[in-house]
Amino acid sequence: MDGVHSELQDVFRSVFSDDHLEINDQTTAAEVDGWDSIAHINLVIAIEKHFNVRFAANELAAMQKQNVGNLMELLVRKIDSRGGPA
Amino acid sequence: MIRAVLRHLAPRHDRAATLYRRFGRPNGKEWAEILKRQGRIFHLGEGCSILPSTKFIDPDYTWIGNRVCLGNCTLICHDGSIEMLYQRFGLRIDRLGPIIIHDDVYVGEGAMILGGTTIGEGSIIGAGSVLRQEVPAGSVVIGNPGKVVARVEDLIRFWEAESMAFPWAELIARREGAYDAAMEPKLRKLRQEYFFKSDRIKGS
Repeated sequence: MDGVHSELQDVFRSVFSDDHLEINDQTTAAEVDGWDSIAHINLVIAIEKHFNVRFAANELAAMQKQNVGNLMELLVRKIDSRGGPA
Repeated sequence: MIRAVLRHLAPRHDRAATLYRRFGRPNGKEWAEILKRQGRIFHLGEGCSILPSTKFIDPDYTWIGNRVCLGNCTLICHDGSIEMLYQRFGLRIDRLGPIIIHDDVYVGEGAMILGGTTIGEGSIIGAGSVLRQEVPAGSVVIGNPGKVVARVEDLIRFWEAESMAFPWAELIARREGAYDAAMEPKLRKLRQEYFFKSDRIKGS
């Protein structure tokens, strides 16, 4: 989980062009500068590419109202069901 | 009856076209058909939808492909400042470029497409964008200056997901096209109930 958190943070930093961005489980879109609907799309696509996973439509819809903790739980489940290392 | 006459005459008579646009209230597809039959736009493809309020400042230098949808936007190929530069400095400058919009492009309300712009197939140009550049196929562009912010294929996944989450998703799944007059009253009611629920409005 810690490894996923670290990698996820790197993806956030890359998408939002902020090398010092810190995320935690409670972080929401409202707290990250520039996390609007378009940035959200690019963030999710970047996460999918980085972790080699693909989110389903219902997961994408739910994601909009959730925090980073929810996103990470979902991501870990996806990585586990994929069967490979993160 | 009068509408039909105006529509018939509009391609060949400017006055009829003006009256048809004002009183006939043509939709985008009907107006695109009139523009095509007028033949002033250098190239206008098939199956386009162009709102009557769209401004073509230089139709001679405007090339539009098939199934292009233009909202209330402006397409301008020339730079009017050369008139001032001529008067003030006697400069003889030509500042003009073509506008090329490939198939299946959507341009939103208030966008400004300037000469020298080529919009690649299947792109979406957001409301209020200002473009004077080459846009790769399948791009989502917003802002001034216009910036590619996403791929249409990615945007579609999210919009489909959002649509599925709406309480009226079942109606949308059955709707043909982007608007169904018969379905609209029910959709409007459901949307208003959802959008303006008291817990969604701050302070209420």
